[in-house]
Amino acid sequence: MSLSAENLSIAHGATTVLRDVNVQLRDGQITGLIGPNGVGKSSLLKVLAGLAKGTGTVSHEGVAFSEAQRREIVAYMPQDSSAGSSLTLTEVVLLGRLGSLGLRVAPALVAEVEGVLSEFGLGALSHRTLDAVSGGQRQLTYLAQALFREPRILLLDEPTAALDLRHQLLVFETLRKLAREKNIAIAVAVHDLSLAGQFCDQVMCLCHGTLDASGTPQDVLTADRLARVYGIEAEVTQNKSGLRVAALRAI
Amino acid sequence: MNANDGAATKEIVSAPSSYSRLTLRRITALSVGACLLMACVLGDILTGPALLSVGNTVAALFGLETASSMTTVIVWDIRLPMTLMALTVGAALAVAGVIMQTILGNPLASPYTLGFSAAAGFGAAVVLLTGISLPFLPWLTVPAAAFAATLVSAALVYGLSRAQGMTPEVMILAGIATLFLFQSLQSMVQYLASPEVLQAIVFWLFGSLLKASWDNLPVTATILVICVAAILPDIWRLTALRMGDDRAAAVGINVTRLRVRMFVIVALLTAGAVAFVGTIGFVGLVAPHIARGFVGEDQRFLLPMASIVGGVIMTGSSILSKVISPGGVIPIGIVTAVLGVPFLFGLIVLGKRRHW
Amino acid sequence: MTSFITRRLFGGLTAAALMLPLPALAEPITVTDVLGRTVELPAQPERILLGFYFEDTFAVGGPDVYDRVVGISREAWEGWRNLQWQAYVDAVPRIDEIADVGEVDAGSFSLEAAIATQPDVAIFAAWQHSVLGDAVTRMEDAGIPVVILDYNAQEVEKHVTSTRALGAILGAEERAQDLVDFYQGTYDDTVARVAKSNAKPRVYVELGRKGATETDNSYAGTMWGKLVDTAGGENIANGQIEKWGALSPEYVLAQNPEVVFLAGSGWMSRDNAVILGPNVDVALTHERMAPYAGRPGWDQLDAVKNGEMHGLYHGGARTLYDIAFFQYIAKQLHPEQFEDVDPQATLDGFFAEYMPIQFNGTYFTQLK
Repeated sequence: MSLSAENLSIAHGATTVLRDVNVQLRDGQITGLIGPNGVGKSSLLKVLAGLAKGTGTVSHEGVAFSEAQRREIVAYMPQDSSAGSSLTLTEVVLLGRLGSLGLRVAPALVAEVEGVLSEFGLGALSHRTLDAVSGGQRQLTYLAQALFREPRILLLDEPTAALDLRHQLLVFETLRKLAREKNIAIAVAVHDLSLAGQFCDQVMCLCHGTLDASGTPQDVLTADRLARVYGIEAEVTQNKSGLRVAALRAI
Repeated sequence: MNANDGAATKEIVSAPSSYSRLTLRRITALSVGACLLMACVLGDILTGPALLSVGNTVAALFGLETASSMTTVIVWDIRLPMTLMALTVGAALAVAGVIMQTILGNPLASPYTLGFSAAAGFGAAVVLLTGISLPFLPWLTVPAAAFAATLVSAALVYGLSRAQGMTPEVMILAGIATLFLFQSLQSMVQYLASPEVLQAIVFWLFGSLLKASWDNLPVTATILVICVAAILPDIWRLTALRMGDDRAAAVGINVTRLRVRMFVIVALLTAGAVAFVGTIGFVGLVAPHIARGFVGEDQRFLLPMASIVGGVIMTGSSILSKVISPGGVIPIGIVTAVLGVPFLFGLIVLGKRRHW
Repeated sequence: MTSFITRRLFGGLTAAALMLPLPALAEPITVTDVLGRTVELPAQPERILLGFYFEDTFAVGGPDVYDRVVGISREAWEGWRNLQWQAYVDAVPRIDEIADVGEVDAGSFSLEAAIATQPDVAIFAAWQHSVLGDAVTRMEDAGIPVVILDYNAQEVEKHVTSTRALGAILGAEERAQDLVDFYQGTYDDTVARVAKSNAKPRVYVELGRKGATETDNSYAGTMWGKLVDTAGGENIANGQIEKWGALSPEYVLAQNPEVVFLAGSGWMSRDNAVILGPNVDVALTHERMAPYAGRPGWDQLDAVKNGEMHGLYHGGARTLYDIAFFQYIAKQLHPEQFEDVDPQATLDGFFAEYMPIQFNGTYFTQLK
């Protein structure tokens, strides 16, 4: 049990976004966070990352875990990748280890950055600026930055939203490898339920300001629940790569 | 390209790093800029209506006995303070401009965006109108008033934005409100002033190096040094802020605190620069953009490059104004725009960047 | 000046409202102003609106002239020439009670206040006319004749035209003619003496408002610049600035002026400014001038080495008595031609003859 939150409530001003949510992220596992638009997936990730305030207790390996402490060992990747700027991809990834950067940047560190970028197929673009690459490449760059932080816990908000199918798979395969090899706890907010079914060890479904269900994909991703939570008629099938969810029509 | 392909990864890493080439290019740009700045500084010291020869000027500069006492006075008491003030103010406004554009995430931001210049002008105008003067240090009265008014406007912007979380949008709104407030106060003072005082106020507002002296130069220079020293520990955080607030927060930055810290520094830098030479425009807006065009966003290069560009614009303008009008004094604030804006246009037209 | 009817109607209505006798039905007089306009106005106007040139009005009209003035731009007198204002208020308390119509340059001039004073004639300076623009037309439309004077131009002809116009308006043609003769005569004499001299010393004029630590305006071609040109000096500001502006300190050093004039006035609470004017002790003037000699490099200027640093009262230009300043400047530039000329006596004489106050104070002085 790496990160757990109990009775977590989140409010934006007078509006309660989430109420009494319990979260368990396990080392070496990927947790999928699903639910309709605006249900509070991003807010939950931000609170877990220590970047927003919520009430309730968050603990790490059983010890209470302040927001500042969370910022230390949690890497969080925000959803929006649209903001371009003239930073190069190398610089963006380097910034992942802000604390270890001095007036001079060690060549070894740069080599490491370029290695991470290469893993995502961005090696040849490392000198390009963010505004000179595609939205998907920007998203991959930010993912590389999050990984470069070498976090114990990795929280990703829609990391595959702007990616083509191959890169969607590539990202999730990389995440799974990281989780397994480095024993990292990963939480991913994701809209693609098939990706959730295929790659997640655990799925948490948020609905109407609270946690509707939590468990294995097979337990959570049922046609009944999807009808209730999303308002869709869906067909859930099991094949060799995992659970597949086909949305048939809106109810 | 495949995450599982470790060999490919190693191969790419061992290839010559594009980052080190980029760094080399940036260092080259900095060096070329520094040489140009040196040339401008020398040129500024060598030009003047007295038409001193290069030999005499250099002799006076190094205190050789061959220099006449008049030459020494001209070089040391008149040219040097103005040149060094141009350098200091150019650097201070450029640094303030970079920081302001960074913390507000806005390419239109300059040290004057949040009303600092209007406030400084108001402070100076009030003193010029009332003729109040500080005991013991009368020469410091107008600068002190301009400085104080700038800090008051900064406090106002801070107070207004604080309640709403210091986001760039709120700060800009609060700043525009402050700008208008001090602009109208300044207009009111001008309205009350007699023509002679009015002329003094207008001249002050134009910005001029005429007031530079060995008395006030150390004040401005000290403020610049202190502010730069205060910026250095945050230099990577400032670079990170260019990713946007959310992403900067995600890499562990307390964005609000950083913004407040930098805001205070910009206020000090701007007040220190503006207090003695008046509101010199365009340097703070243009120098950061020109510098960014050469060295990119990494503030380790951007800040020194912007300072260099600011210094070049100021000393270059000073030379230009002396060439155009040897005897008279064209307010340098007018010349900086003439010199800086074509540079910026060139950069926009020739540049490949789609985003600032 | 639209129609005679409007004016009569206006005059009639206001006169009736105030239960005053109708204006005298004497033949109207015509006055030519500095813009070359022929203005028709009632003879012996009893209600005068005066925008500027308060001292010249005294000189032409005599000590009681302000009994006929019903409105002034007070700021232009009390605010700009405060020492002068105080001196005249002491002598003629009535001027403190005259209605204020606001000041043109500051934009506070009120057309309504001006018309409400019901003037028979309004007198403005040329610079006021150019700022007022349409407002002058509207006053004329309201039946108020407007006469424009110009002593600022520092041209003899305009001084003469302005003085004659004032004489006609105030019914003091003879006195005006005396003044014109005095001015023209002194001017011609001075110019003739200057012509005999071959010297053309380099001159630097600076406004002494900011104190020695800052460089203030110099003048080229107008005001002091014009006087220096006419007095046979080589104004180092010529060709460097338009009309007025600061000269580069280095340029001043490089030009090495032989005579320096600092223009001072009664600027309030300016601790460094050069102070001159009515009731000013010459010691104070010298105390304020002294730091200028200590500016970097100034110890090597011919003017400083030879003690040729002079103070001039800034309110002295643009008046009828500026002729004494003209003499003073010319005398400093060509001393050998002016040995028998005493500008101070000219000034004293002018005040004794034409002004309600005795000359008292510091109007020009040499820093000893």
